Amino acid sequence: MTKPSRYPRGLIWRPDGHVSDWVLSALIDGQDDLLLEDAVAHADSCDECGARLGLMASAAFSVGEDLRLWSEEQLAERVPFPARAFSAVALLIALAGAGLIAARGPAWLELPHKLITFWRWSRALGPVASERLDALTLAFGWLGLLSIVLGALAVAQRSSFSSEQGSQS
Amino acid sequence: MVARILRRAKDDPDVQDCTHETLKRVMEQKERRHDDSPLLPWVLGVARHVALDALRSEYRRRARSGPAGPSDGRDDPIQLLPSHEASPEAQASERQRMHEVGKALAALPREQKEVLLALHVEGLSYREVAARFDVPIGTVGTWVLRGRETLAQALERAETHAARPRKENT
Repeated sequence: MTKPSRYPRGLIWRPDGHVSDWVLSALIDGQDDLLLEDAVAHADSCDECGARLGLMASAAFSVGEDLRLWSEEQLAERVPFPARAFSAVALLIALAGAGLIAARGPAWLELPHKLITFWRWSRALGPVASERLDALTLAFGWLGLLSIVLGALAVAQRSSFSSEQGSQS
Repeated sequence: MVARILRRAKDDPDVQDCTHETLKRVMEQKERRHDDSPLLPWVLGVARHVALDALRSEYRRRARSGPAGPSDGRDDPIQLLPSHEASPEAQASERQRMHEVGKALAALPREQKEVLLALHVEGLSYREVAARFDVPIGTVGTWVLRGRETLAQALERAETHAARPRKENT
């Protein structure tokens, strides 16, 4: 069943003979073609309906502008993910990589082997480095303390030397 | 008709402008009318469109320029300098209003909120909205009418509530 493309008659007239708010609301939104001609003619010629139309139009336009501004604000707050920029950069990197591979020629064929070797070295050196890490931290700590003590001694010696020189003169 | 829609006196300059615009459009479009329907209803329809367009433009202009600040700037020479930015008070007031709009929208039934946004933000017609939501055209009309009424009342209440402490402070 197809839906009617106009307002049903029951929505158009009020019991007092004036047009309903549905009609005025549709007129405000420029939807004249939904209405029967006699209802539009009445709204245009009746003082009371004209006054109601003006009142409703003011409220509707005010709400409409508020909704538009609110929607713009919501869109502005929602910063979109720069998908195009990311895609462009990824494409550039891929192209540059392809160019490098082409320039290096057969040397790139060794890449898988080199990667495996690098992985094995990392696995072999990892435990040794972690074992040495504690000793290194301790050594750096002592070296720091030693440098502070030496610095303090140097400052003290310099000040006593200058005070001795001052008492001699 | 124009004065009734704009809610101004008949000799108001805006009413006069709209009347002139109506007559201009009628003269321009008269030749293009082919049907023998009476002239008066058609002229009144043109007048209604012109008046509603004028009112819509006025609200748009008002919304874009933002609310007026508490001072009209006559006392402060800095305020007399040309500036396109709204005052901090006006910006705060605008933010508050947008917050209220969001709150009022959230309180609306989902279908009324979506229909109002489709109509006012996306610019869809009632028929397009009816097709999108698969509902009769009368239902769209009811959602628009009720949604707009509820939203207008909520915003009016918020405005009255916000104006009260301001008056008490002054």
